[in-house]
Amino acid sequence: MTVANYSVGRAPRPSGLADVLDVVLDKGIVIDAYVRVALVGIEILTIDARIVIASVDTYLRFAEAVNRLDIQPKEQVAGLPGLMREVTDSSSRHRAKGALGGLKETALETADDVAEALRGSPSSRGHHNHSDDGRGLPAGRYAPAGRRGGREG
Amino acid sequence: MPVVLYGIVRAGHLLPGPGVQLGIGSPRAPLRLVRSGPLAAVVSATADIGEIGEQEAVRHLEILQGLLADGPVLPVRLGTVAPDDSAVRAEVLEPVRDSLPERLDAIEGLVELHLDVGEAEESELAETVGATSLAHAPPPQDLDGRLQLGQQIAELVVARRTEQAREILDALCPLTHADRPRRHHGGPEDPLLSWAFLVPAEALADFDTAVDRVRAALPHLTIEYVGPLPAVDFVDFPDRVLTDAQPAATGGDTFDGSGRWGWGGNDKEGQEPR
Repeated sequence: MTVANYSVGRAPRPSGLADVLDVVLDKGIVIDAYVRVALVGIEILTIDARIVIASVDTYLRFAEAVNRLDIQPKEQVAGLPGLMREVTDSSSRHRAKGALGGLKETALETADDVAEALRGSPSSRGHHNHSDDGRGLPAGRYAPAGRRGGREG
Repeated sequence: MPVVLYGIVRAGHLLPGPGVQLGIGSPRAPLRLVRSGPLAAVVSATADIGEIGEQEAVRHLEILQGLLADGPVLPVRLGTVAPDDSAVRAEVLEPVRDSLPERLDAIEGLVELHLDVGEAEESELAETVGATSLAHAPPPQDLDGRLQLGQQIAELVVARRTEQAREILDALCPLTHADRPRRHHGGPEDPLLSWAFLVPAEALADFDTAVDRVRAALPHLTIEYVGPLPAVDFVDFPDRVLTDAQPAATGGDTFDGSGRWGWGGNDKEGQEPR
């Protein structure tokens, strides 16, 4: 029973649903005719949850963030990261949760999507292992217009 | 009575102890083994599997982890329901009886551990850009200029991530049986490190210590360390099993696909190499 002893720093299970599903959904042996429709809502959820924001958005965010760094007096720059890390950590976690919840609801409500995903599921299984191909753009992330101009000081 | 499937183990495998004795569905029935030849499927009876959500996914994983205590286990996809025990024997275990035992042997005594490492963006930027001229250049007004600046910064950030990832892997990989990435690395949206390690179960404590050392050496990183998990990233098993059963065995389904993919997957798109 060596494997049952958990170290303090090791979590028994992933904190994110996507990583749980990675083991029980993506990597599991598939017995075709037995996979239930009830599952499909989750499948849509995983695929969507793995969509990564586009590079353009990242570049703009980096550019903007550096301007922000520059307005701090130099000696404070070193002390800043720790403080800011906490803030972003908690806020991004909330955002992720909200997004997942929303996706799940939508996915489960839409019967057409369910049927379609069932048919399309074999081809989408490879998604998460790869980087750039097939990476969709979530609605609303493409135009960071609201954030673009605001930082000139 | 329909049964929910969780994993495939050797016929002599023991069921998990207290805390992991019930399956999913309603009512939740006890786990049991359906044996055929050298293999057994871990199942629980259910009249109605209901909707599968996050709780059921976590439960499924808990069951697999509970099984791991007595030896290797290969997961069956979440939400798989067979009409009855004889269908499990004939249509799940029989088709894999020649191929699966050796895959179970290959991961005997080994467990999988995941490490997901990241750094807060502000910290990355301050460390990579703070010391360069980029931080003090006047911010470009036009979109192209901003994109170009962002791209330059992204390159520095990615280089820093790669360097730190290498440092972590250098510290941990000597303790492992095998290791492999779990995500793509090297792009600006990619993680610093998302990696799977295959470690002897008996050497788990050593690996824990090594991870603790990494944490102490790199305190600015957030490190999610998870396991032990079934060694799914290191087993090359057939990921589709042919069944001749009628779909929708338990009622209420609208599954009307043919679902007759064989091992070769002749007509199937997306047969990913494993």
